[in-house]
Amino acid sequence: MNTRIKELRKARKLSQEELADAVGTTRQTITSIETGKYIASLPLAYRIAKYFGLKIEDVFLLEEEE
Amino acid sequence: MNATSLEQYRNKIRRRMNAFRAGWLFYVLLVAARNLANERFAEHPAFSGLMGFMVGGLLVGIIGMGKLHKALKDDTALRRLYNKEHDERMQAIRAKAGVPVTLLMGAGLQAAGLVATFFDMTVALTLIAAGLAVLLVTLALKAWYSRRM
Repeated sequence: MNTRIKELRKARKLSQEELADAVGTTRQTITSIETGKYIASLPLAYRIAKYFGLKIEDVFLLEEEE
Repeated sequence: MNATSLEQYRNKIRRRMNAFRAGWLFYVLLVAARNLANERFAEHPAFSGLMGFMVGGLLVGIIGMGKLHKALKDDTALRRLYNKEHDERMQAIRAKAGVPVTLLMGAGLQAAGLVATFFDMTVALTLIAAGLAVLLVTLALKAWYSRRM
């Protein structure tokens, strides 16, 4: 699972901690999602997408082979 | 996280801090009881073991208490602590490492070890060692999954 979180975060000059606070999670979880080590649950994915004003599929990109 | 759940969480933290203070009070009472008790009782391994576990737990708890105290004074720290405790990734790590069950098992083995000091020292030491091993394996698994996830 690839995500555009890092790109979107950088565009808004947001730190991982600020994003984590805004979506109700921890900085470590944001790091893990950005590096692809952890796949966010649907509610968290929804909160992240909503925070950026986008749809889930615009933030989280599922590769075909997955 | 809305204002109501923040306030509920604040109350939960206050209860935790009170429980910690009660733990210290119990420890002080144990020390007093040990000084008043006869030598045979005061020197019993079960009594010493209980006091050792308690003082260890309470000293480690002081660090946690510092965090809780800070969280009560600062809403941002309180929110971060709430997020940390309810973090889905951390919950997944704890579940994979089997933390709830192994913590109970480890504590149960330690308690059984203390009780066993009344009957057989070899059995008691084996139980305590097994309890420590369970807790160490759990910690190692938690660290392993934290790096993997």
